[in-house]
Amino acid sequence: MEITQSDRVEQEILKKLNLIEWKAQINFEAYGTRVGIRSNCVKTIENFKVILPEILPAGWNDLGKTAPDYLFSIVREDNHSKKDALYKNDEVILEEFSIEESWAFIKSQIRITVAEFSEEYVFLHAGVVGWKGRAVIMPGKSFAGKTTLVSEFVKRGADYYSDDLTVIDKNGYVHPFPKKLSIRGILENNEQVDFEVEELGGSRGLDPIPVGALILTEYKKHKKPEFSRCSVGHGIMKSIENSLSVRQSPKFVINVLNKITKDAIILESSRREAKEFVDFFLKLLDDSCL
Amino acid sequence: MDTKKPLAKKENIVIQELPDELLIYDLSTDKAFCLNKTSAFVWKTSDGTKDISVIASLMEKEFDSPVNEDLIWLALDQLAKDDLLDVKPENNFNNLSRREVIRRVGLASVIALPIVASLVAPTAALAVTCSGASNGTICGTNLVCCNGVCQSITAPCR
Repeated sequence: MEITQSDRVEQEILKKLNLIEWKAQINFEAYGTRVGIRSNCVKTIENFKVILPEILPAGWNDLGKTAPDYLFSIVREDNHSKKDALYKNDEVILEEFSIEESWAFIKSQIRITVAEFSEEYVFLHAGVVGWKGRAVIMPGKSFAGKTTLVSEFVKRGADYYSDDLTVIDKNGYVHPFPKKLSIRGILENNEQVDFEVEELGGSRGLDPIPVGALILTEYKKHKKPEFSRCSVGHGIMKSIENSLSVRQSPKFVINVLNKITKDAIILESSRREAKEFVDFFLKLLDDSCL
Repeated sequence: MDTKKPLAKKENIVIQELPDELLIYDLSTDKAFCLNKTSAFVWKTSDGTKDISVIASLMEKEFDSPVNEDLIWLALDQLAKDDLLDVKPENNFNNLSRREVIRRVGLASVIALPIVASLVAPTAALAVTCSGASNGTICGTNLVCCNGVCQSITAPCR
């Protein structure tokens, strides 16, 4: 079998990693994905143990010494030296960076890996709340305003499930992923500030719930909300656009998306302010018994 | 293979039947397609054994409405563009432009024009938040943050 340039690079990386003395490692399983994190610095792994609940707020299972399928290797040089390196299996993720300045990115990489390779759950980049026992899902990319919308729902009594990742099981039920709400617009540089939902006066959803509505919305400064009903196909396409694992498991993802859209109402609307939008949507729900 | 009889792609795809629509995911290109009722009917009927007139006739029965063969050609044209056919008969719409054909068919037909919506499925990295990092922060192999989105290092930051 021909060895490609890419194979050679991977082999070189593995050779390099095999020469390093790894001082500590943690292995865990979450949503069916088995992940490990190791480092040549014990303190780094101890820090990860402390922040793991932030990365996976719904929990994980300790795998002990069982080999993971996806192994992150963090090679430390001196503190703040910008010579640290991060690998995932035999692939370079980042080189010549400082881990102290990149925790957010590394946390995100671990979360993405868990989501991307889960064969038991579908992860959507979407905010989600529980309203009268049913999930209201709001897909959207960064800066789409998901957290703002979720906050407004929560202030009106909706249960908080997530402001960023919607987790759906194979039966189409939404599970809580109650990470802290990451709100922009508080600091001058527009960086996110994290809040527990209770700090906003809200409460968390605890149980898996079926999907009641899928809301497709984007901010348009001068356009007031005007909902139109969408087809199941349109809802699934928009969900695929915000899916983390469709390339890995297309059949499974599409099957689950079909389950959640089959009985849900799928609405599309532009919005101005989140408050106005959420009020409008909840009134629509009440008036029409949807 | 009879090149006058269209044949739908069957290999390397995932199909999901929906009420009045059809979802197709092409595993070789990671593209998703949503076919409306008209396109879906033409695609499903294109089994390599039926010519255009037969498909039109079947569609008339199914939709209980007269069907111009140009409607079938429009659907096949779109399906072929999206690489959803293994065999597509040649047609030049009698030298009319596609736009003219659409206009002509649209005016005469009660049945919806064939539509195929498509998108390229995102990778996991491109589907997620850029965690509040500054523009230019690396967020993956050859990927950088741009206004909160992880995107290709070669693309301009919008």
